[in-house]
Amino acid sequence: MRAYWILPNRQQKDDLLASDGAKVMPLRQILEPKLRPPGFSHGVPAELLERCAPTPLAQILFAQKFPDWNAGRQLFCVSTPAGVDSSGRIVHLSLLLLLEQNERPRFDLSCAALSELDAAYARALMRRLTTPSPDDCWAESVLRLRELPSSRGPATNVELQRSVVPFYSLYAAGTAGLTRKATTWRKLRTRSAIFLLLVAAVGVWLCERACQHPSRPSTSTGAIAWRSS
Amino acid sequence: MQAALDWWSGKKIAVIGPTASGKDSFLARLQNREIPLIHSNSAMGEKVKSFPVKLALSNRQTIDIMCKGVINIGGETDYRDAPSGWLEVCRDADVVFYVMTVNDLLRKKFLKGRRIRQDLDWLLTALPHLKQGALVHILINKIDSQIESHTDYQAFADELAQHLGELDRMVRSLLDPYEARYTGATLISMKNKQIYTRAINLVFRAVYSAFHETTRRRKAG
Repeated sequence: MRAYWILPNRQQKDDLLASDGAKVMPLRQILEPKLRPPGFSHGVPAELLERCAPTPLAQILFAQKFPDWNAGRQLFCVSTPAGVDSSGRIVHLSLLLLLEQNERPRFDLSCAALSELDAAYARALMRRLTTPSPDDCWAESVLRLRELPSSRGPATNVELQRSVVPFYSLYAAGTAGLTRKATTWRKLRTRSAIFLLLVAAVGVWLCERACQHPSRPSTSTGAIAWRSS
Repeated sequence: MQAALDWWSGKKIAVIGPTASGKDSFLARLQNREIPLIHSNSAMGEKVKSFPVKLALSNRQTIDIMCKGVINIGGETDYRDAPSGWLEVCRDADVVFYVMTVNDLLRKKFLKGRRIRQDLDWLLTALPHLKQGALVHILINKIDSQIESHTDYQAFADELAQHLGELDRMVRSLLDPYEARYTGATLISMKNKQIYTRAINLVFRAVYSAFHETTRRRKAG
């Protein structure tokens, strides 16, 4: 596993910068733009920031998983808002993990090369992912994404509506916070339960109707004896 | 003017440019909403809902454009060169607006090796992949802050004219053999509504005139 920070573009530079923990370098040296998977996000998409208001920005985490990214390798990226740039725009800090096939993401990277401000956001992000508090549903969504089977294809922790590329997602975000989306199995179980309830209701209704009409002759049943000669 | 109104109707536009050049603000202006005080450095290409644009012209006419399939994208070179980056945004556009700032112009960032020039080099390689006849217009944003910081307006105007001329000549020679697709550069302010309205009127007329001229030349030639 190779891990990097994608640093907030506070000075509105032309190139995004990254750090392997020890030194800072252009992100393109680590991950060629042409190799970035379609729909790859270098931060928290604007639609999430808009949709989740008034959730405090610092709570929001956005994660992406590309299981079959480059010759079978995986790409995992977690982002968080990290303050503002020189003209007051929200900027983002991301933890980028380049993984071998079937390798499990670990959230562990030095902040030594980061500025004091960026390091504070980086440490807070790692703390949330390594020792999540029970009420941190955003961190939980990222950890669930980590465990998601690769067969799901490219996935995000939270559903996106404005992404150019479709993603499988685990949670839906809104003003009320995060809600876990029903999985196919759970959806099937719910549908089956509704169907059974309907069948039971129809059965009860038919029984009641039959009881209300006692004058009707009951159906006689009979048996046919089959005798072989 | 009616011909220009008809021509613009239903056109698809793409907005690209360096980070913090004013792409989001341009989008906000087109949508007739105020520029948000705090907004985000775009992290990925995001679809924007279709929206109508109503441009009030000085002669009480309006231009109605339906912006469909708009994608908002970041300005760092990382987005420019990514597979779902600028090229995807521009591919179906009839008009590509390249947004830069007056600061970029005055600091001559259009000279070889510098950011604006790199973007224009990229544009030259992208043009064959864009819609046939797609036009390119340069918007030079943030003129308002430059006006505020100058006192000798004549000297400033002369300086701007000189730099604009240089940029114009450079773009025309660089985009050869597609120089006819370039419709000019306009100074604008996304922040100042008055300057914006006047400038965007000029832009929409200039783009149409350039299109008309190219068509006329093609027919004559």
